[in-house]
Amino acid sequence: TLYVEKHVAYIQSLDTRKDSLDYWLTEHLRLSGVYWGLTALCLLNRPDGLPREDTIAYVKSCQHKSGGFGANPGHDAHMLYTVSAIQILAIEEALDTIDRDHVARWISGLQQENGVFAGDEWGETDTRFLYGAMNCLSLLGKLDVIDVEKAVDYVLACQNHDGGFGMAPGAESHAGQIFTCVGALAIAGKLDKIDKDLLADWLCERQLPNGGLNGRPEKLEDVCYSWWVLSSLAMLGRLHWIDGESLVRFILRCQDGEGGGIADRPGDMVDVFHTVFGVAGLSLLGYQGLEEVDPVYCMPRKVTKKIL
Amino acid sequence: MTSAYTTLTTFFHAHRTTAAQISILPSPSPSILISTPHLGIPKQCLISAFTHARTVFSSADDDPTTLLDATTILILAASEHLTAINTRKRLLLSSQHSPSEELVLLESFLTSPLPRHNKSPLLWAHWKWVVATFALGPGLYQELEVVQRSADVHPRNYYAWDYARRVVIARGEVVGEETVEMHLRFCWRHAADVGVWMFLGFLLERVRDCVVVERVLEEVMRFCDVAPGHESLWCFVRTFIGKLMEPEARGRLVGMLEGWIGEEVVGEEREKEKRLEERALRWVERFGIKE
Repeated sequence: TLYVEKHVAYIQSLDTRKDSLDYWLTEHLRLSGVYWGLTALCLLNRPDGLPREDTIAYVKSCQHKSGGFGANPGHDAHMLYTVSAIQILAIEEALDTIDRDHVARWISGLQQENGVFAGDEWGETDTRFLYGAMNCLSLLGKLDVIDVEKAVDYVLACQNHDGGFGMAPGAESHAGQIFTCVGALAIAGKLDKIDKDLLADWLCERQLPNGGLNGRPEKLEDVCYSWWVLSSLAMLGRLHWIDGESLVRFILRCQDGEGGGIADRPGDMVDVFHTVFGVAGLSLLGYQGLEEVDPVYCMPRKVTKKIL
Repeated sequence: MTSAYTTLTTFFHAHRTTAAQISILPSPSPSILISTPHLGIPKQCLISAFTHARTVFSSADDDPTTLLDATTILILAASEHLTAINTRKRLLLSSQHSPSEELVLLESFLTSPLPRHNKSPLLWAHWKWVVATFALGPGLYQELEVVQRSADVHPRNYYAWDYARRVVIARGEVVGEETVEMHLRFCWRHAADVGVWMFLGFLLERVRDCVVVERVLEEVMRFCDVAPGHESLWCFVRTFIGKLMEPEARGRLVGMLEGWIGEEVVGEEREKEKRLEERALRWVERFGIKE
């Protein structure tokens, strides 16, 4: 069974723990934490689980003059938190409360000559940020401010001989990076450019005898890979290649039946990151009672359908 | 009694030119343990130091030394603390901090047995930025050695091995046999590490001499005799054989593999190894380049 009420209560309690150390130790990624919590609540059929006005006000308080968003007021702007900001506002139907062009301009300024994106002014590049830019701009309706063709070329340059993708050309295949590359190609409508069978074969090898999925060969199973691997397979139209039933059983075993929340693997401590990806994985697998998730965006399909 | 914050910042001040080996001590541990270059920090002390560092960082105090101290502790407690790392970049650019000392601190974070720091994308990117911005130029082998020490404390270290690739690419398209030999020695000790095997593949792709390439592939394949059952090893081998070898060399290695698969095996370990070999062969047959 999925302990829906426990998970809802767990997520809602996260913001109240200002006396807990974990709250302050994760301050540098708070905005993403809110996105993870809100998305999980939506998929668990509690779209009003977080106070809408407060959430919108909080997101806006994270925005810098440059247009980008930081993880929390006082934290530097970065692509990762800008994506979370836009996703939250999209879910809350509040994209019109910000200046879309302003955000779009900040993002477009981060595209490099070769098509990839930096995370911020300091120049770290990674396909994660390229996917972030495409995700964000497509939700804002502003994909035209960047060179999509160059971005696609860069993604294709990251394809490896084993069919997978890495963070940069020549980098090792990794399920998380595969998600970002396949997602970017999906948004650009260019999935036909890759060998889907080869990649899906690599992705299916992530499933372990216990039903869980790992991110690379000989690694341990981890609930978050139930998302990165599964959504990639869904985008490739090969979700059925995996043993869905045993994966469902694995995800359910990762729950904390007492305090709510989902952990990376059975018996470990829960966190909101693994909670959203566990729930999203279950949604993709058709688990009853959950809202449909969009594999490209990891947001409720209802929301993305309306916007795009 | 000295606060944890003071003890830690004093330690880092005293160790500006030699990298430390930092670990978090299991609870309950009474106090911070120092035996240069080792630094053992009980979780409670780290938390107490972090709390103070956060207060300092949030205050209006912009004295460089204070900021360096506070951000060191913030990063120690939270490896992905972007704003703390950026603050240090700004101090480096305004010449209020030494780039070579920053690399020493980074080396500590990247090669210590900590749960997150050694595989941190932000810290690896910061190392890359410091080296590039201040043209500090550690040599190829020194940089690869830092990567290896990082991979030693954190297996399957994705960002470390990506950094290794950037270092090799920056020095040209061709890789020499000595670099391959150096990495091969590391492979023998990390047979379960897919990051290590994939980096070998990356290096071999850049070796001009196909005789060397075939010799290394055969050596790796025979290694499974002493290290059976490693999926990562076979993922590297099958991809290389299937996609990156000359037809004749591929034919020889595939023939060798077919021969092994044809043999009888006894025991669970050998059974598992045989299944991996069979899977590798099927992969080459299905996805390999067809002439």
